[in-house]
Amino acid sequence: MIFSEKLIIDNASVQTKDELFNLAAKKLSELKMINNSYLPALQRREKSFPTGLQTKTIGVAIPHCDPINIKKDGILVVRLNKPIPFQQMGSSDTEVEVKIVFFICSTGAQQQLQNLRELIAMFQDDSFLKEVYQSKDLFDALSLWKGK
Amino acid sequence: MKKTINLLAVCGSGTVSSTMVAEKAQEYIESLGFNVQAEELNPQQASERIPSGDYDLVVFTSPIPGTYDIPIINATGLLTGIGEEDVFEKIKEAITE
Repeated sequence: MIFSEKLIIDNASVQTKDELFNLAAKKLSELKMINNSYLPALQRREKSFPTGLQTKTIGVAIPHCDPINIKKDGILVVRLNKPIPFQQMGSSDTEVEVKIVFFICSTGAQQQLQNLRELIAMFQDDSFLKEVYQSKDLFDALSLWKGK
Repeated sequence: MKKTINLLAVCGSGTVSSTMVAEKAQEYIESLGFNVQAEELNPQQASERIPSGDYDLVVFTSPIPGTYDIPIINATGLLTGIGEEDVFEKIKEAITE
């Protein structure tokens, strides 16, 4: 199971990516999962290497930064009550309206690869991702993920 | 004797999403009857190494600064599944031309 009930923020009413990143960093910091260097590293990284991904159903994003900024592994899932535009990964001129954000926190490249592999498999499962987005209880819906 | 394709995969860290797209691209290229030698780098390293002529083909999830005379293919579709067939088609064109 790659998700945890503690690592969920539902119905987040943030207006901008900056507000969203601040909210995530605050939560991760309370849970002692990150170093102080996390927020600036995350912002820098997202600017140079954007992580928005348009799947077949909804737009998602997977902001992450170097494991050096991370103390504990985990994925913080944030469902937004209003989509926020992210740049599409691999592009400098395409925007994605993002509805769910997965902050991947990994203490090493291997863990990062495992987490990403799992998330990407989930993103490619159209019906599952749609159910997650429309679910009443975000964590309940995510916990049905059996993995690939 | 199968021809070997030297594949370079590029992402922001040079380790994570590049590994994922490299695996998918490698599997596909092998299915076309080639051997594959795959390597992963970040965009900065890639822009320094591509001119060495060590690679036949580059797939990326983070754009690489500069212009090069080998095929450079945006492979983000291999992560989302959207446009995956287009990516494979471009890879095929690049190695069979």
